[in-house]
Amino acid sequence: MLILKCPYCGIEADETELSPGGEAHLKRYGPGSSDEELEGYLFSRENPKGVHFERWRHVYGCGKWFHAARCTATLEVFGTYSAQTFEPPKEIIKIIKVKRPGWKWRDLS
Amino acid sequence: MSDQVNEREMRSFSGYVRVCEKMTTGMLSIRGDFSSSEFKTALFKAVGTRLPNEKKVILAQNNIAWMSPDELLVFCDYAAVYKISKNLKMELKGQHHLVVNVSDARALFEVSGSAVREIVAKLAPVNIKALEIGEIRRTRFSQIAAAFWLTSEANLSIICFSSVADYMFNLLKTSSAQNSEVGSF
Repeated sequence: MLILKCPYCGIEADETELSPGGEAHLKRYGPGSSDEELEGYLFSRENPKGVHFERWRHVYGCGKWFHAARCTATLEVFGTYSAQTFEPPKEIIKIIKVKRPGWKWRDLS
Repeated sequence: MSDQVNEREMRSFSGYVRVCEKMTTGMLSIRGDFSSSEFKTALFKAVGTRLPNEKKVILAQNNIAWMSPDELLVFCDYAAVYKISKNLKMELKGQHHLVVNVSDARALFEVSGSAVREIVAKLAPVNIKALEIGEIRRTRFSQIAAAFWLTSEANLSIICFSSVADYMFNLLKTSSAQNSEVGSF
């Protein structure tokens, strides 16, 4: 069972109290962008075995969206952080570097 | 306000704890900026309570519960809701806020008995042993959204949407049925 701490209300919420929101830190390409960019935005997703960044919503609690960094293979959670950011915070990257040396996710490593 | 709520009978059930639906409780949902001092002042003037701390319920004449970083729920007399909401809207004028009378949209249950923590443990994915008295926890009870808090070691309050109040009442009846005690609390 995946248990994530909601960064907004501090509750240790289990997976059934949350709603998954897919991959984190996607850049939206809308009108005016090229076909490749739009296709990438719509369909291209990471599918890592290991470190992954996701969006979650505390749907049965405070209702806020947040981000989580976890390992898809072991369900180990490296940390959760605010939704009001374009990239994972440095503290979380640091934790991942220690626990998963040589990790890679998009252009992060 | 609707009269329908008064026509619904007061429901209660006695198993190894007692379950009782509290009809005609006034509830007021408030959203606003908790960091603003004007918001706090308006709340104090209109409701008569200070802002509750994160995840807490202030147990006073008008209970007030922290629902999320920008949402509160006030409990009061069914008849007093209109006046409180009118005052609050007046006090909050010009500020970003939302005040809604949800008395008929929410149901309140009270569970009493020595095993109230066990009733929650049977139904919700919550570390109930760690829950303090007066701490509100929004979660799910089986398949429905709910929030609950302990007013004492033997008294539990639960709120849910009134559209699923029957489901909640049946859940509580089942989990508090005679001879179904686990005894782990």
